[in-house]
Amino acid sequence: MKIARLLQLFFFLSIIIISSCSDNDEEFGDTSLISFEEATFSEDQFIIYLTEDPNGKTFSFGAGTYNFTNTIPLADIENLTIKGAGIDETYFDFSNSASTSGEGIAAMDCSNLLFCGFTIQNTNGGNAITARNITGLRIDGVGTVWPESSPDNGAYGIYPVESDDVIVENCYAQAAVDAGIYSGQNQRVILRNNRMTQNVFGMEAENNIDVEIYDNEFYLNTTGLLVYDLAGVDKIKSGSNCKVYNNTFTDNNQSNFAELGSGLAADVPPGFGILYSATSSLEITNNTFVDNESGAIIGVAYFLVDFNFDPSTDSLFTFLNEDIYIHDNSYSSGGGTFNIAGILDRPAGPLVWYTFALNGNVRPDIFLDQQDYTAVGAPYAGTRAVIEESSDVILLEANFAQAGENPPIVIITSTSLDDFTGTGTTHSDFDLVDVPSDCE
Amino acid sequence: MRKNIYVLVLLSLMLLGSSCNIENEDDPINEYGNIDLNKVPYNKLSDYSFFTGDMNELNPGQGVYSYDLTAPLFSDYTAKERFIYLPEGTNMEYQGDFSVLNFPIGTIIIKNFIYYKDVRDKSLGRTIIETRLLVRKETKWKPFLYKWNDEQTEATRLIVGGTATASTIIENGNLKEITRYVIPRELDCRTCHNLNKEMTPIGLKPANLNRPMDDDLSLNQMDNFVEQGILNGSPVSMSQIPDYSDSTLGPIIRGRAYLDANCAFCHRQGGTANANGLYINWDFEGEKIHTGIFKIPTNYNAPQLQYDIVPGNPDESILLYRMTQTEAPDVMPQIGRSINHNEGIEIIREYIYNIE
Repeated sequence: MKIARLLQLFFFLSIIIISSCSDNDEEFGDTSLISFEEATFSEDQFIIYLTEDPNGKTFSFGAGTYNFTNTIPLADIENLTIKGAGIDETYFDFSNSASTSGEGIAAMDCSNLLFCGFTIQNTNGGNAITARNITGLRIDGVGTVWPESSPDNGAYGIYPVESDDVIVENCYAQAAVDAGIYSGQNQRVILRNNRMTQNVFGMEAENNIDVEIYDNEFYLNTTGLLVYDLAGVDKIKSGSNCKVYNNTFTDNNQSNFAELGSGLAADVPPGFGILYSATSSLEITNNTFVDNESGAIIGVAYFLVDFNFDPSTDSLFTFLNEDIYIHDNSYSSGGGTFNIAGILDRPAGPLVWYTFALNGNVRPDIFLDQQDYTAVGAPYAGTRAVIEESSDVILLEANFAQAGENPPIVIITSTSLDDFTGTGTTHSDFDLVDVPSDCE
Repeated sequence: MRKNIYVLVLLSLMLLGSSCNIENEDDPINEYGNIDLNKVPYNKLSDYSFFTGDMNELNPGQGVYSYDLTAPLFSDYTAKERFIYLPEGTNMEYQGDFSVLNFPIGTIIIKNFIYYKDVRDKSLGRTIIETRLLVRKETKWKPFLYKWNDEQTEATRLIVGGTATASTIIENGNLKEITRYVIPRELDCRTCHNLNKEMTPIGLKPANLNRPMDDDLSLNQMDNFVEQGILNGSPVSMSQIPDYSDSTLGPIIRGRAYLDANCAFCHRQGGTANANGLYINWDFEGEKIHTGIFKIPTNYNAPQLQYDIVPGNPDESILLYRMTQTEAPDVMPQIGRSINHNEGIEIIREYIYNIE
């Protein structure tokens, strides 16, 4: 009897000892869950976990603000979750980070990554989240925030690149100096139910294959959404099969706050809902455009993005838009500010302004480049988009082949929807192959 | 009787075993088989017994071979002493002039980061800051970092990185103060040591090893590996990346050699920056836009600058601009440099100026 009681006591004590040793484990014996609390968090301990055996782990951060001194590096990991207590509960702050890449989280060469329920703020000039070469990525309920629209902010909030099977959903992106949420050179991507505000671009899809962008809110950005292909990349030279639907684009007229002359994003004048360029198989439907005062949709060839582009240096790149289908969207404007100062402040702005003036100062809902360069002896002539919209939608198409001349020569080539009829190419459905399940 | 013999044999084996151990303790010379790959990483650098005598002399023990690179990476003006440890009876294999040698399992690449008081007179003394190991554990390479103590008697593993300060007088007599030398976190190694999603050594490619031995200019380093019996399959003639510090060479050649050593570990096909499409490795053959000429970067906004390289115009080229920066997010490379490499900047300035 006595021995039995002793044994019982011993057993009890050992449980206490063991559990006190492993206070990082939320459940006894569950070594895959590592929980951190603000008061006791050690960045070094977190880094050691990530170095030694991160596979299959879930790192859970309680409510509060966690101050990081360097980028969170994730490499060569299978199955990893980083979760917080909520987008407005758990903050990862990089104000005092010494990282020379300036990034918040930098993940590379991983499979099945899941980030959910936290906000990354104040990264020092780098992206809040960079994810390279990930197979299976879900970012759900994550914020990426800089407090003010400053040229010193990070270029991108969420930046998955060269990855397969990517979902970004329920996220909030504020004040990125390029794009709040980005997807580049990815295959099978869903960007849905996100909110983007006060960025230069709310969202950017660049050189992807198979994308759906839906149920997002774009408001108070310089321009809402950019869908385009960039020359000089290797993995996916030309993007295709992107569908943009059920989104709202509201009052995207903010002055561009990127430092003037610093790359493509900095060149963009304010006031557009969607800008597309050099892309193919893009379907834009059932979106609501409100008060994007330079035009709900603008589509241009790559030459207007980069006047110096020489197609012979990148022979597989397609620099004209092909198979664009715009239909059944809702357009309204006039309630926002037509940001003339902001437009003229940017390199492409005077051309926009000049073209509107040529059109009797009537600003279009849909503003298109005719993409015909044969007049200047170049063998490039694109096909027109197919547009099915109500008859009161204002269209403006112009030839910009000689827009690089001084003074620029712009010729208005159409203002009639009747020139844009045909059979539109609808989006091809695709299935994501392998993405971590959601956060619950 | 049989049983007795058996016991005796066993006893003598035990004796033998223990005497071997005693020998080891007396003399920490690296005997082959000393390094138990399953126990790596050791906590102390001395546990590997790479070096004979005082460890800080860095005199290689058995199975440890020194090597040098023609075109090295700039790391805040550190001098580097490099070694390869090969398990007994193994050797390296040639697999292409520009491909890193194929190393046997158990290989450890050892790189020591050192500041001399004055590189022009090494007898004035030096400080070893850190020793980085790349260990081929089974099929994968793993990085382990060791920080030296102030007494320079031992180095201890440091997973989470750190900083150091140093000063050194470089070849041209200038004093360089390094106020924020960064010892990377082990996880950071992967940022550069990466090819096609696998961790990999960088400098150990034949075109960068094909050079005279430092201590015997009549002997070629690759030939010497063959003579020592640790390299198989290398052809008679191999490519040679030039020495970018050789001012008798032309600006284009020097520039390309510099970019290969200092940028191309990421900026090549399959490197970490593959997505950016800038491929400036010496052996790149492909479309012109990938060399950076009139190429817009994918992930960077430079003030007033649009293209990686504007031929003939270094000051309008992002590539040069980022070499002159030391702060996030502009600095390139993104880790490993806290001060400018003025000599490298001049090489690249001349390079871009001479591109037509």
